[in-house]
Amino acid sequence: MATGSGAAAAAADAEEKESGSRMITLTSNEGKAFVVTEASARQSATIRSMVDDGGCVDKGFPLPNVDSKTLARVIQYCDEHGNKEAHTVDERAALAKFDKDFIAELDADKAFLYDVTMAANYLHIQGLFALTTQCIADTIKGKTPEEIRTAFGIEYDLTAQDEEEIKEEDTHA
Amino acid sequence: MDGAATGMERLCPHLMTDVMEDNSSWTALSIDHIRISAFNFGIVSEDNDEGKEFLLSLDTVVPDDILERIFTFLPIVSMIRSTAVCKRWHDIIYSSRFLWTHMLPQRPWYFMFTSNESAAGYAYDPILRKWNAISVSNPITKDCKRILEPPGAKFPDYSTIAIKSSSWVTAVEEVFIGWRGGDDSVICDGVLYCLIHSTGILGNIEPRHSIIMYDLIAGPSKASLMQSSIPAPCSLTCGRLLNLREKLVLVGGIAKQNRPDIIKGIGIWELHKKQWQEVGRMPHKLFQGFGEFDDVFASSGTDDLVYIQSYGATALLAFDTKQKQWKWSAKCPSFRLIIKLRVTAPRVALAQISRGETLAACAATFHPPSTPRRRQSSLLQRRAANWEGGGEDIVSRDPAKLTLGTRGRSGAWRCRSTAARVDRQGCNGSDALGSGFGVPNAGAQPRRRRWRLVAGEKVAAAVVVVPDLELPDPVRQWRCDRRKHAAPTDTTTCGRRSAWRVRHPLWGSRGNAVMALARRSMTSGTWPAWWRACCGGERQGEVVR
Repeated sequence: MATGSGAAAAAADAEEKESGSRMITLTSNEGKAFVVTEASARQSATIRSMVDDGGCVDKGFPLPNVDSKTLARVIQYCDEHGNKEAHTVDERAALAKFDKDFIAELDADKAFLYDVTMAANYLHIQGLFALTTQCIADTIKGKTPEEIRTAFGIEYDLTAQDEEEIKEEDTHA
Repeated sequence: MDGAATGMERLCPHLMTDVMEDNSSWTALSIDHIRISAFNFGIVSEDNDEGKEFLLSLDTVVPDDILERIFTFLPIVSMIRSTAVCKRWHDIIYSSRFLWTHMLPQRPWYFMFTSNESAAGYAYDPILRKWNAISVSNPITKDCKRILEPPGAKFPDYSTIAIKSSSWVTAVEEVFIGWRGGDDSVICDGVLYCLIHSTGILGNIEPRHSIIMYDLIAGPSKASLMQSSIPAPCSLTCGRLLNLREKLVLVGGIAKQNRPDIIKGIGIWELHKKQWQEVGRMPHKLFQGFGEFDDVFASSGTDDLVYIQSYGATALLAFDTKQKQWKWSAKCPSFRLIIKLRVTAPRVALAQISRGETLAACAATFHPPSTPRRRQSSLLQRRAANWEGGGEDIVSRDPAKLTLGTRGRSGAWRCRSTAARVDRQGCNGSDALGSGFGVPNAGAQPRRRRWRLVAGEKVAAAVVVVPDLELPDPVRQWRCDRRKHAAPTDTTTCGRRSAWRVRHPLWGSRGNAVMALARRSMTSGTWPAWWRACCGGERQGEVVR
């Protein structure tokens, strides 16, 4: 999406129309190439700035921190959000439904969810990052520390002394 | 060519770079591919029970900054609980400045105090839609120090030495004949509004309400307060003034035509260019479910939320002015105690603060014993450098500190203000001596005086002197309780902060304390310790969920 505002918006729109059909190649750390529309790639602030800076559109973008599986999933999100309009209520509802299904699927596989979160962070895809972090936060919400540890399989590494300290902090200053 | 391309895509969807250049069907294919992959992965992980692998994932894979971001999505209670998960989480939450300054805005909480003996109460969290029991007794005894009495004589006039840069200025004084000052006032956008109503003595059989206003920035105007007053939209019961995002909002029960003591509904109005506009009216079916109204209900609000509660009822009704939605809270856990609320804490939230970073708390009414002969309303205004507030209300513009004032009373019914600052360690009593200030008009005439301070760009006090007989019931009730050992409490929420006042029975008449709850970071980046004690207390058995 074009981020320009005011007078720049029209120009940006025109540019987007022109560039909307451009394709951009993203390469995962395993060397697999993914071709996406520019509108889709622009969901990522990282790529957007690289595209706007000119240069390597034709050569494609290597993404050494993202593996193929994660990248494919991230692109799925970007395609949905980048290529679809969200002007009418119906369209927005469709996107919201997509998000819901998307995150529900991810939530079932925590390890993958973290990967996608990290990729979203690395690529600066705001919407996706908010979606995944919110999902993880929802898992934490309403749980006791014990339950949180189980849910995320975190090892209990607080020594008795630490625990005492935390308790002390909690009780009073 | 087309056929061949499709075939290739099916075989290796990842490698369609050249062929697919301007073919938008790539999207659809990639989704198919991903769905299958995810599905397969799901099966595999189920079979192998890879829980342990996930275990490592969150802790080893996700870096601190992402964890921080995740924590910012949590409600406070969950965040506090998360500190006990592991060392790393604890360190992140307590050491990260980022976390506290970027925390998502939380929705305002609703505080309710239910017992006059133990100063216990409940807080309602609209995000989790849960009531949390709060026990303020623990913070009282451990963290929140009682404000020190001045040294030396029992009732030294120390307020004079404390006043250095500030004093009260009487801005307007006007006698309203046939009118009584209400006890609700609020500052919105630099204007102090005060609710008054006619007494019915001068042939006004219909109870009428009106709002007087005083512009704190422009100062006194030529027109009298009475002339510039704005009549309420209809006859009201339990009228409350709220400041919702700098808009004056009036909440009140709409009385039946012939029976002003019976209300037939609750309305919410917003003042727009001196005209009332109805924002919402409680739907009939909600009103029916509201339980026994018994003529009294409390309302308060901040941001977009208006809370309404019937005394004696267990549920809390919230109205979202933006979405125009009414929503019930879950039932509050204790019924028995709430009955007492009616007696001890008639006002659940009184003072509202107008600016984002300011903070206010408010307190119970004040009761000199004798009865004055005339009715008088005057508005007083106080200017100070760092100080804005005192008396029953508390204000600070410094987000790191809660500046508060409490009012003690002497045997001669002098009222005097003491003041203190609450930092994250609790009240700092020694500051009280340095910054106390006197209540205007306090010593000269022993009078029944009901006054409130409201805070905003400036602090103003509306002092109302009322005759004894016209005291509304809750006030009379409170006086009865006071003979025993009442602990009237009051609370307010403002933006992301809340404050409440407690009066501990053991402290006697001077035992006022104000506690603040920051729902967003204080500048120090950590929570007040006693707040943690309140809500992180599952290990102490204090928080009921």
